Amino acid sequence: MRKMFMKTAMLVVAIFLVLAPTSAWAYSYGDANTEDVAETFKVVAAALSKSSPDWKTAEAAHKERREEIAAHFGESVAKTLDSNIKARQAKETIANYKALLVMNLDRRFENTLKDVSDYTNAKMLLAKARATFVVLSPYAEAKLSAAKIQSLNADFDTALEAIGNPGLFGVGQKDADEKALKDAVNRIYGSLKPLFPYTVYKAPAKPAAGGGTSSDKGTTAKPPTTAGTGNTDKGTASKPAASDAKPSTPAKDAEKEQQDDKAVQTAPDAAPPADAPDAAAGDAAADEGATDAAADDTAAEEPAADQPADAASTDDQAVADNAAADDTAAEGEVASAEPDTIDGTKEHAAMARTDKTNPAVTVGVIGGVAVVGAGAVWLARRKGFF
Amino acid sequence: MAAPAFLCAAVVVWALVSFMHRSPFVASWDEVDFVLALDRFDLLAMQPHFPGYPYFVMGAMAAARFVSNPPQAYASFNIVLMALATIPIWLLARRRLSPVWSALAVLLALTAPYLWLQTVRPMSEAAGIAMLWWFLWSWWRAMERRTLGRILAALFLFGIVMGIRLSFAPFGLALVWLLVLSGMDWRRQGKRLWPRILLFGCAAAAFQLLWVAGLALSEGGLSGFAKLAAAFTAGHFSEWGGGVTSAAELSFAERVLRFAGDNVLWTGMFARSTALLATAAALLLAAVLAAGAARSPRGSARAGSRLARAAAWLCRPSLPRALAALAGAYGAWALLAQNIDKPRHMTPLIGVMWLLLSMLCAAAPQAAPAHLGAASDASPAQPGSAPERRGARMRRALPAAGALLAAGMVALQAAVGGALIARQASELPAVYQLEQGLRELAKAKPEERFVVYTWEETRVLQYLHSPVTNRRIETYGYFLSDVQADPSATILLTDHVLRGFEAQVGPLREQVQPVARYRSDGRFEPVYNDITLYKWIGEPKGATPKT
Repeated sequence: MRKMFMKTAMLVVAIFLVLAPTSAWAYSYGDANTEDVAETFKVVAAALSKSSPDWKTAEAAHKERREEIAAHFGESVAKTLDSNIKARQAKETIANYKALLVMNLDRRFENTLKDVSDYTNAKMLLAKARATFVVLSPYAEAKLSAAKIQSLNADFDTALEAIGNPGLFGVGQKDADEKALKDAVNRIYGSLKPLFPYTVYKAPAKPAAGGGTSSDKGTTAKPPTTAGTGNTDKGTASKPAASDAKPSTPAKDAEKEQQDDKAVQTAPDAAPPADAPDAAAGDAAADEGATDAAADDTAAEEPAADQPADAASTDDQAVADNAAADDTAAEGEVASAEPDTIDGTKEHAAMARTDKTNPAVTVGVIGGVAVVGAGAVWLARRKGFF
Repeated sequence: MAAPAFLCAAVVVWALVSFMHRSPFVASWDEVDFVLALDRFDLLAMQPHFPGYPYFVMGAMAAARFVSNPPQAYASFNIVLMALATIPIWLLARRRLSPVWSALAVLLALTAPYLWLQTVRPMSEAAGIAMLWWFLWSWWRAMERRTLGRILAALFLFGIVMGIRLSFAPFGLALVWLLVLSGMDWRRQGKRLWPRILLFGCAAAAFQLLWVAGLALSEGGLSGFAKLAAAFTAGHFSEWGGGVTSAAELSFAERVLRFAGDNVLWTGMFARSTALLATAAALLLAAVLAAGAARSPRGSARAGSRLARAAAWLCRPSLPRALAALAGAYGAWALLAQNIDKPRHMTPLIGVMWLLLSMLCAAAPQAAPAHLGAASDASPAQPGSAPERRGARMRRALPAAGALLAAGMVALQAAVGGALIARQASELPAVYQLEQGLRELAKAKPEERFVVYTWEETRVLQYLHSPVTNRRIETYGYFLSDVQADPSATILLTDHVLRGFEAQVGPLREQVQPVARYRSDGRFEPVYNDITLYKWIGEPKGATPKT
């Protein structure tokens, strides 16, 4: 009888051994160095760069991240992405998502600067910034020299060094260096920001003409820091200046980072004539060859399309006045989401950062559990369960 | 007295040879993690990876003051700990074995080639195993006489083991065992049970807290550490390290076979050497014969149900079986929960198995079970008639033959292991070769921009500051969009990446073109010892990506 039972049991075990899938049992540790927005971008970009874009996947991924986007970068940014996706503009969606990643860099850097006294938090924020950069880097590599990419990586290392280190059992302790941190993150941000411009969504009033390039270039939302709400009509006029900054920046990138920072900051104020973008783009293309042509392909390939006179006027006529006002407001929001420099003073939505743990509550809960547990044991002993 | 002196000399020689052949390479993801940790201890940046191994890194930091090369600093720390670990092995062995056999057991464990290979690399296995021996010895001491001091020593040493390698946690069952036995003692003595159990638990937790607190402080505080731990342990169950490799497709039977056959025996015990296998088989035969000869009739005389006997044994365990039980528990854990592609996870079993085999081999005829310690001088009890005497002589001859075989095994292991560690320290690992190949490629064609996609090789490439852009990738869809992001670059990928893609979307051989192949010994690099580099040609023409 017993033998029979043993045999059956062994048979069952043997069948189990042969059939049971085991991949799920392999344990391992995950990677904390990921950034949700960047992961979403990967999904969106992968879905949309197929030969037949997979809008369903992209839309689903975007929906899942929309709340975070709206909370941190403003409702208008989220709306723009919604509209891009709804209008099935693959190129614009990807481009704006890249710009979103740049905004995310700003968000993470800002908060790092603010949280530099909180080592863990600062480090995690920097890691998230780096994860964002890693996702952007294939695109950045196409536009920047290898040396520049390396210097950006080095800047990330510098930033990490600059937040200090409590050391292992005190070995290797280091204090934070806020200035070095600020410099490093600004170098990174200043280099990347001009590469990935943000474009406000325009209702496709002239889908044939404005589908790709005109809305892409002509309305690039890169207002100078002074561009407030009062500047309604001049809003579009200031844009060529910003787009001017773009082709010239990569050219200087290769040379010196410090000047590069200044170039980004000062160019909008210069407000050159309307044909300047083309000239600059031409120069850059001539000087730097293929890389920079890629950096500003729209400008180089279709110089006529982005004449601000054309694009701006048609846009302004097509879109009603209040829509234009909306745009400007949106640009203001974007400008705050995508500033020129990072100094750690801007108010970001604090949602993901608030520390909801109250040490007193934690201690209280643990103490309470201990007391209740001890009471239960005491009671059980009195009742004679043990 | 000769045996201990000889043993000391042998250990010194072993240490010297090991020092000469410390591997200068940092050839795997985990090793890069450790080596970078010497510069900057940062769990989030995976230097080292979770769960931190703080005592190990601390020890290497100390060693790095004398040894400038980081991987060799780790190896030096390993060697010192391993050499010192001969003390607890000896002390454990001496409880059952004669000095000669004890020395043989120690040397068998010390010269085991695969473990030796791990010792001279920047990995935490060897250091963990060394401390594990100390723990096992202190635990057995506590089991023998359960005094407060001995129990605390065992708990403390377990804290050290966990602070070096958390994956040895199943050996913590030993402490549960100890607690149960102590509890029965206390009960028998009429002492109050619960406060003592509580104290035991608190002491155990406090010794663990030492290293956890150190880690937490390295992360800037407890809450930050908790956040980090949550981030690291949440999700990602099989994406990382473990499940992505071939192990994902193994059925359980294959897994068992591969673990027991390849990882434990062929690679772990014999380092894929037929000579070692043959000698070990002979030794095992001698052990079985000796054990058979030693088996006294009392084995069958025991009565009672199986359960009662098991319970009685649990209360009064014998050392070999207790060790076997613990090793079995760890083995089950390593089989089920560890990455089967990496045989190093079974290295803690090697030494235990050699010790057990020695005990089996030297098992004295149990005529006089009173003096267990001395095996060689135990003689058959009554010299009787002629056939009986011949049997007695054979019984006496068996341990001697076994000892000779074991000595031969030690010599063979030393020869094979010594040659292996020398090769490990001089042969360029495949990943290093890959890095060199990429460097040359980039130099030969400076006008082209190369991007290489890899799996875990990336970590080593970045450690070596490869001039060629490299990225880790697992998902085919992401890869395609990355390729489109940078259309002017020349895309390279390794065979691991390609196989991973093929598992996702079917055959892709048409779209790649082999460039180079790099190989090294699988005993040194378990997963990345054979790397083929491919060039991505992309879709057949006509299906060019739309922009």
